[in-house]
Amino acid sequence: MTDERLQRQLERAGDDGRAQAELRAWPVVDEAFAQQRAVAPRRRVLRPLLAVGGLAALAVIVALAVTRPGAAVADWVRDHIVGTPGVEKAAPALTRLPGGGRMLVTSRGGVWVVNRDGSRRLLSGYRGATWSPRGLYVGAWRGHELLAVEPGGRVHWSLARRGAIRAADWSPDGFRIAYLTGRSLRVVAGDGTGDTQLRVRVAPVAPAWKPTGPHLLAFAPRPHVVDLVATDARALAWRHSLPQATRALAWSADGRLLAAAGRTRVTVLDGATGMVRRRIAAPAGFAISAVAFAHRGHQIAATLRGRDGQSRAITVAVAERRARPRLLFAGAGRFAQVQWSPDDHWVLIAWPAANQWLFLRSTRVSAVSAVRDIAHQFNPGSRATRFPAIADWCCG
Amino acid sequence: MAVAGTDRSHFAPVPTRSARNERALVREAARGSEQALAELFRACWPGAYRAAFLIVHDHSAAEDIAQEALVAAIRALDRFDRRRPLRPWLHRIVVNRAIDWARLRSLRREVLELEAADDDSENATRGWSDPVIAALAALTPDQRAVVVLRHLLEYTPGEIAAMLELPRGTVNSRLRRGLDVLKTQLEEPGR
Repeated sequence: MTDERLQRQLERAGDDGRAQAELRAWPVVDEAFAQQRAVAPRRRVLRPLLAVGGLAALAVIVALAVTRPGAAVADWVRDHIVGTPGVEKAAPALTRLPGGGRMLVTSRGGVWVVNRDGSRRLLSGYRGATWSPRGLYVGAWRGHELLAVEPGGRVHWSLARRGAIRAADWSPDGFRIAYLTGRSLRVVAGDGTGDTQLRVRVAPVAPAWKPTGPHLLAFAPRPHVVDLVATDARALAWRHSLPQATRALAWSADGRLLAAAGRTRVTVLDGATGMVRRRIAAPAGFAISAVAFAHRGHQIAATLRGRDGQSRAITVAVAERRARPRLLFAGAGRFAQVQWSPDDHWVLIAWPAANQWLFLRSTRVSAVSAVRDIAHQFNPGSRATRFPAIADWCCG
Repeated sequence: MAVAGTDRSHFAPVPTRSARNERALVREAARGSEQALAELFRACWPGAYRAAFLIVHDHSAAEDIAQEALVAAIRALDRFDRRRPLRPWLHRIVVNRAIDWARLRSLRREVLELEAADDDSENATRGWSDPVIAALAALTPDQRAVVVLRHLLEYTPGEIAAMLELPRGTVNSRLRRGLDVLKTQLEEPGR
């Protein structure tokens, strides 16, 4: 075989995935570039060509919108390529939480406590929140400050740290809160005392307390590594390395399984040993957006995002080796989050493209309960329409 | 394929390439030009992705590796010595990360047989229809890297030695052994 022939063959190899990967990679690189420029502002050069191009594109869009052939093209694109995200018969307002319990929702204005009957109260100014085990308190954070707050708004304690608080998890017995501040992982007692640093530097993945056992915390010290640490003794129980960077960690209610979600697969680890119990790969062309364990049993719900813009919500019984994923719902646009209702009868998915929440019946009888106009409901009186995030749902 | 219009990571178009000089593009990108960045990306992506894929034999991993390498390069643009070409530097990052990934996967497969047996999506456990990819699978990650650097990206053995921080003799011997295996595999596909 000649060098030229080998080179030709190498140049053709792997072509089937390259173009799609390129389409996905460009926005990531572009975003990194924008962040880099934001961090180190430099002298900006004028970009007249881009400006002209932008005006030309705007003119084309306007022409498309106002002319009849343009409208026809737009309709065709919406129907055949874009799709029309959303469930048609959606309720205009959130008047109840199917499955009961109380929910924490973060929006631009703060954290909303949403009750079973749909009534809600804004804890203004907070950026994120987590429930205490029985829902008596909210662990909330804003900027550099972590606070324990009653759902009515009364603050019990607060502490401030140098780095911005990014995530927190309240231990199942209520005696510890683990939180990410800046790049470090810290643990504080449930009454706000004894705050200590557990690790100086960790990956930006929300830590997760093991539901059973004496203060065992799972977290990602590096993107490809998961540790389980006994926080009181500061002892490593186990460590597991993963081929994909971890994006989220979720425990089964009995603490026997820990799901580590990567970009295209969920690795289910044995909670006691850290050994792999099962690996669940997303179907070809799909990436995993979010995962959540049910409150009972070993079923997980996940949302998958496809290269073609379609998304799916599925459930999988991870303890059954031959169990196949069950499709709950599919639609156009990204499904941002997934949560189980406290009674496990419903799976909630957030659908920003449709500005809807979907409550999907998780049992064998399929049912969908949709609520529309979610962004405005959680940003009342505001022109800002950032889609709110579901922070926690507990306490059935 | 815009669906929601809310997720830039899927649907932003990739701008077209011009024939502008790479160094000029690096200079302009470092000054903040998005157009220059787009052209650099367009020029660098195919080689970076293909090199990673030929070493790791996993499309998802190749995408991650090429993407992370490009992001790392973007973040270091301000510190980059603009008198030097960009691509060898980028390829060095890609190839070293791909070797690490492939080694880690091999190690994990030895240690945790359960994982490999249970992971039916793992590309490495299935056959490849492309003969050259199937043949490359018979090489070690280090041999694959050297073959890819020499015969896909067209670096000289001296340049490869510098990139991988290896003696030139080691590069030559890996190349020779790798090509011997490839030749055997491609000429006798039934083996």
